Amino acid sequence: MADQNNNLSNTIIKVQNQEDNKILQIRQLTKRFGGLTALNKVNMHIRESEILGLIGPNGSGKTTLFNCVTGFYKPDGGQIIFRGEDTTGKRPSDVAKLGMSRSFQITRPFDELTVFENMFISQSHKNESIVGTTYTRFNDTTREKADELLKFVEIYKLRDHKAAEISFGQRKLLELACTLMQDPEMVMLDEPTAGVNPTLINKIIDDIIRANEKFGTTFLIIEHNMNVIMGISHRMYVLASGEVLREGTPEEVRNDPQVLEAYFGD
Amino acid sequence: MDKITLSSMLEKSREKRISVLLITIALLVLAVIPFIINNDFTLSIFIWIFVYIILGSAWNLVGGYTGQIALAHGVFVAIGAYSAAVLPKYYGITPWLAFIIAPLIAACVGFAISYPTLKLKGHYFAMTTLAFGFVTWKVFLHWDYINGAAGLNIPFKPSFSAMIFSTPDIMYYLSFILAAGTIVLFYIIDRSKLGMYLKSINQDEESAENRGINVHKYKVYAMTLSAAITSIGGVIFAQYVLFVDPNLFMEGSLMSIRIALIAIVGGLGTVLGPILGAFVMIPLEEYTRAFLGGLGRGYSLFIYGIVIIVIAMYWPKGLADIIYRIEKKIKGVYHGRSK
Amino acid sequence: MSMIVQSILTGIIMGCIFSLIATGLALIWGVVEIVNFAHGSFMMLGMYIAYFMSTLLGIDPVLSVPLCAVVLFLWGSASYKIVVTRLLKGKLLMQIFGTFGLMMAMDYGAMAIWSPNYRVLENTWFSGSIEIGGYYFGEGQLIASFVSLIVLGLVTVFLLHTKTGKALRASADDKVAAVTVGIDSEKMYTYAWGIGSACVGVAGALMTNFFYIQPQVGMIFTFFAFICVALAGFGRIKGIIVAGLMIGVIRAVSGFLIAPWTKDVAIFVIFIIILLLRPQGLFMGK
Repeated sequence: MADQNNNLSNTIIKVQNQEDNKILQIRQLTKRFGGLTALNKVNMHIRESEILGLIGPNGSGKTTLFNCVTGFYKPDGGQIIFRGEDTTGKRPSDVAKLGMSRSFQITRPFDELTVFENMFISQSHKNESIVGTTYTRFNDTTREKADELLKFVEIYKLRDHKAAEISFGQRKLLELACTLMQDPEMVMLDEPTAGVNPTLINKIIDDIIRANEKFGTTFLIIEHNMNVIMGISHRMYVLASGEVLREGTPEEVRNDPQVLEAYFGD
Repeated sequence: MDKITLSSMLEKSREKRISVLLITIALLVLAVIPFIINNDFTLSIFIWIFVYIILGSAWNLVGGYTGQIALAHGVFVAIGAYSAAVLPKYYGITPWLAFIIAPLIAACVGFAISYPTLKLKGHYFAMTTLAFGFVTWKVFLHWDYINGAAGLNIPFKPSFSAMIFSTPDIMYYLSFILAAGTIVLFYIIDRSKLGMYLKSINQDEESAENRGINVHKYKVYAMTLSAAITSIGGVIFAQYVLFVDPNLFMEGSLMSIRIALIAIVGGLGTVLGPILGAFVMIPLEEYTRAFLGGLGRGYSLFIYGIVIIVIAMYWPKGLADIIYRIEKKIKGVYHGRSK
Repeated sequence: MSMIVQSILTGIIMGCIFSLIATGLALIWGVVEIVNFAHGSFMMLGMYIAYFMSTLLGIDPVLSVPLCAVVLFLWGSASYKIVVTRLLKGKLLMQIFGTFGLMMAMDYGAMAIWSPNYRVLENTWFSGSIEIGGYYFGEGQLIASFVSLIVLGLVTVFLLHTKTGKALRASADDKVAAVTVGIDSEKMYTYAWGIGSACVGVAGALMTNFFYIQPQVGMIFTFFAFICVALAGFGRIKGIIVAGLMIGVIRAVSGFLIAPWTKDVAIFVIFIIILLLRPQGLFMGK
């Protein structure tokens, strides 16, 4: 009876926290580095299957936000609630196991492993026993999933090449495919089109939209390329000097004078 | 899009058959050596090679695959050796049980020392392991229970239950089987999830952590497993040399360095590496010691130091890499011809 | 009670010498970003030079200090040019092994040339002991700590007020920026190794007044230097001096209170504990 009560109250808390399918909630998030306040009581939320754009001038705290959410930094204040669970201060691998993937601004594949192996490593590690990994290999299901995703981003033919050998654009695609490997609930992309040629940009945008439609994956994307981010986002946040300047649809954000000023100064 | 052709499939199975053939030949040759060679000194070299295959492979897991610079594995060898010496001497228990007890103790110690320290980076971790080795050495020297600096003698009374044999042949086979078993284990690990995870940690810890791999836990696991296997080598050591003292395993971190070097010379992060390393380094060391070491003036260790410098400067990938490149060239020639 | 004070004072004296050794390492570590595991072996070299200057030519160790400084400067620079430049291109593991190999080659080379026998200098100018205020001090130790502090002062002046010194500090702070303003990093690295080695060579020469000379004597001093720098950071010599004094005192007091063999062990145990509790060191910011 006590158990049932506990489960019930846990579920109630979870439902309260989820609040009309908000997959991520950031409340009063604060992060300081020495004397510098990088994030100041930031409030944000993302709904399931949304594509959320995060923009702001350099140094506004976007990557710091990412790092706090993924667990790389411990926040100095505030809360991060992912899928109803408080993940504030949890280590990155624990957060990843809850269904969050992330890419880096400068791609970080494992250079000496093949494209295939990079995908394997990105699979879900939920409930994985460490001792068990000593004698288990990657099974066919993983192989098939990796095949499917590599074909999805169209770098299947490179699967046996070492990650160090493929081109910059191909690395970007690999990075994207890796984030999708664990069937994540939410993918965080840090400037996915930075340094990429226009044809490839379109392909990446296309892949993100397709993944969002086909798998229902939520995306949180940092971008500097306004065309890209305005075209792809359902909703956007503008960050400036560690605070949320504006939240709204791309239309609303594009026309906001405060946003223009933040970007182009006085 | 690649097509899997019949010829490429045949080629892969041909490669596999060649490897299997080579390995079988090597194993057969090694199996009959005690019948061919009667020279005790030569046989002892083989025994040391097998022991160091075990030790080098175990270290390779931490240093090669995971990329952590642990320089105190001599402590785990000591745990194995002292367990084997102490069990019969003080408790009348057969040293065969040391194969179970020593890894347990070593695993605990390995876990305890690595859990807090593997959070440190690079140099700091290396120095901490050196400090740990130094402290343990000094403690052992002054620990009466194990007779401190005087060490422990294992009286030469050959019997199976005492794991003491009147001819080196049996010890040869014992160490051979254990070395083979170790290689099988590491072959499995190399191709398992663990092997790949450790390699990914070695290349980019943060990236691995972000993908859901608890880097700290895996590092500690690798160290614990490594410690346990290392101690098994220590048991053989004691039963072969029939004498243990703290200096043998922990003075000047020499043994720890030697173990690491076997893996480095052979090829870090490969299964073949420690095998090659042991087959090259051990005879080299034994013969230099035989010719120069008797003078007790460190000539052989001086050469050792030079070897380490040269390898670090010019050959960090080790012998396995050279063999791999030769293999590639042969394959290239083969392909060229069959076209 | 007075015995403890005696040990503390002895510890402080030795601490000055540790600080000099550590400063040498800090220079190399800070500028070149490599830990010289052979640092103690360089000190050993200085000791043997001073020893032979004394026994063969009758030159007192204190007078050998300039010679040792020069020889070790050259040896350090040569080691950098021949071995370290290559090591820096490789992985960290190989860097550690490379300097470790250098240590082995030097220590066992010394053993091969000069035999493993312990040697001691007698009847140098400062071989007796003095009594000050009821406490006893070895003359050798006193003069060693005195000269160490002078050398540390010289190094500080050099780093703060000379062009090369400032360039060295800039390289330690921010390599990329330093290169951008035209500082020759190769030259800086060579200087760092040269001066760092000279420091430890001087310490070695000074120590021959009261310490035994033996091929492997340096190893433990490498540890101490590392611990000093790890705890104090490379930024300020002041921090290193404090860390050096602390190590000297801890060593002396634990040797007195617990047992002589725990002298060095205590340092390591404390080192491990501190690193675990505060991985950034004691004095470093952030």
